[in-house]
Amino acid sequence: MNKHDFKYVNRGNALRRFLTWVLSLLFLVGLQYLSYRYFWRHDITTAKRYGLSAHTQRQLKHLQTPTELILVMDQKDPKTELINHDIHKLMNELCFASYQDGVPKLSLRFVNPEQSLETLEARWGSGLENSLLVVQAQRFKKLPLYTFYTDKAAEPTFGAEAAILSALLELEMPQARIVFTSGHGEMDPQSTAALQGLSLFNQDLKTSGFVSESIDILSNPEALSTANLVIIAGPRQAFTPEEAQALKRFSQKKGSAIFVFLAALRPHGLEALFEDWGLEAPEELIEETQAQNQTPEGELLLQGFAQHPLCQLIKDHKMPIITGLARPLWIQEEQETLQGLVYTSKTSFSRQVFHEGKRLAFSPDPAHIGPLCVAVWGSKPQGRHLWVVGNADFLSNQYFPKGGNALFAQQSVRHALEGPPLAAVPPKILKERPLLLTQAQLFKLALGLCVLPVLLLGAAAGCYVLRR
Amino acid sequence: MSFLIKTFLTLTKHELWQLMTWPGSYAMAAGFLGLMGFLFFLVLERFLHISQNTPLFEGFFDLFWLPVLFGVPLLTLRSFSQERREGILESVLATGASLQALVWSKFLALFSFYCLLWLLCLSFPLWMLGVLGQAAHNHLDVGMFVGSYAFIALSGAFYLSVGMLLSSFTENATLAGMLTFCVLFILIVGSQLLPQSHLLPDWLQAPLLVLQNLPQLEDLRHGILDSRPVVFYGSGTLLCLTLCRGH
Repeated sequence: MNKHDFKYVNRGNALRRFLTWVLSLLFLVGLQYLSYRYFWRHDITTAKRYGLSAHTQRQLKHLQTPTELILVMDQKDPKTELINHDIHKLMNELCFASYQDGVPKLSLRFVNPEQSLETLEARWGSGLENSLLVVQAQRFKKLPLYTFYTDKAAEPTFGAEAAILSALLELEMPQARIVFTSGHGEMDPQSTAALQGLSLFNQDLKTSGFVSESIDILSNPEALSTANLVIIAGPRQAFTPEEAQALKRFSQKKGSAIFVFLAALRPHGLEALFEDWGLEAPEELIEETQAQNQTPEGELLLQGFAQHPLCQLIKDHKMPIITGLARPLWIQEEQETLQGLVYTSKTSFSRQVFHEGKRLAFSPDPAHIGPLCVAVWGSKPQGRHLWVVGNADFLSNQYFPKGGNALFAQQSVRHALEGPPLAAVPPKILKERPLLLTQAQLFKLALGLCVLPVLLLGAAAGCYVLRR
Repeated sequence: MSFLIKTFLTLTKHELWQLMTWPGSYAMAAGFLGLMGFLFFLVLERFLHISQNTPLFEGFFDLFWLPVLFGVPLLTLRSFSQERREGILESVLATGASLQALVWSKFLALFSFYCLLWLLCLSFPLWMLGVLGQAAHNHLDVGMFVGSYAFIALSGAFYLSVGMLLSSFTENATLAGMLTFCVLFILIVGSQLLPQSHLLPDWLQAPLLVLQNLPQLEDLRHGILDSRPVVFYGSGTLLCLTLCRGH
């Protein structure tokens, strides 16, 4: 073999080594790419504290439309470190679970409100800070972060998984149609007036992905028949018997829901509908005797809530419902379809003001003593619902942002149009792990930690001596 | 086949014996445990001053990268470079032992030693249990320890193989150690900064997240098994060990 041959052999070896490296790296990159797209992920714990429930995973595997989760919060604020960690972890898990054929159906975006809030608000309206947006094409839902946490008894819980899944499923469904009745002096969903306007509530419905319009129920029977929810917001004039019958027929339709907010001291003409459900709304006025159950302006603070999914969040967050003048509601005996939701205090009472449409002379004697029911919820088979509140202005622009009013309304709309909360997704229990140490225990721990390194140093010295 | 296995076992025993009789191994173990003990104490002190709802040892394992950055280069720097400089490598290969048997025996010995070092850290929770008794139970979650150790073993295998690969390129042990430190620094610390980089295109950012080891550690200790880190560390280890050079 001459020098010339070695030259070729060396070049050949160098080329072989180079090719080995290139091919190996290509193989590694290709393998990583495939493993990134097609992976297996499973929570082996029984508590599923950090993983997703089987129900959520199944639902995400069948998600149809690409969806974006946008978290709008200051991610460097030390006060929100724990929330940030919990929500990030959950969003990542949701994204991983949404992979279909190697592509995620859910994408994630984290927005710092100080930097990009204006762009988001231009598209989705104001009040986006500290919330999670679930965006699907032109539709979206806003989930305030504070609603994810509850503090029941001694066990704080984190219920974001159910809330996000619920929002995703809502967006997957066809848009629900909500109609506001008109022609009886009802509150106007377009108006920005303080007490007669419902623009804030209406805007909230739109941001939740619903379509709303105002109709005259007799002149537009088709709109009524195709609606999912009819809202009667504070009528000042009574409905005619024909209109009441039309509403009664609507309430017997599968999947229908009627919300009635009754103005105090006004006739409503809905007796036929209420009778069908076993409800009475007498022309009485509620009064409160204790200042602690009133605002300084004399508004009612309603803090008595029944055990019902609709009231759970308001109870957990200790938010009262704030209303103006209200009337009591009576559930007829042996009625199982209706349940009282909100009650006045024990120190309240009601006074009869009208009788058969005529105003009565003032009487200091109470008609009934509190607690008095102010809001009832009714459910019948085939997904039919009725929600009646003995006050109308709690949804008005003046009252809607106060206390738990907005939350109560949002929960009720969601409950009526999307069924009960997802029971299959339990909230995660956030376990506190307190640790208290005395100075002596701390010293003992520190001392113990030094023992092993010292022993090993001794072994090193011994080994060194033996080897020498 | 039996010759290969016999060679492999003989070489592994030799490597383990070398490690057990080298004073530096004990000194390194002492330094490692001293550092880990100090870190544990710092985490404990911080924990006592801040309200936490995560177990104490989660914070401790989050600092796994610190001993890895210093310990792995120290462990691997001698694996090939010193033997090559002294001409021992050529002698061993001349006996008919294959390069792969030599590489794998060295790897197995180093990996065992690395795992032993980490297993010695179990003395901390045991000592804590001895001092605090029932009060320590809230923080001693067996599942969390199993997950954390699984991650440490998986990632450790990869980091050791990287160190061995770099050591096989040079006769200078110091250079091998420094190179290993730099590469591990990029892999561990650099990968954490990737999401903050605006230079990377969006489509590349997500796949590169597989390099981020803290979320992987978090997943494993929370009981979430994911195939991606297993593929990444497993294939990376195999590749590095295959590419080790004998000459």
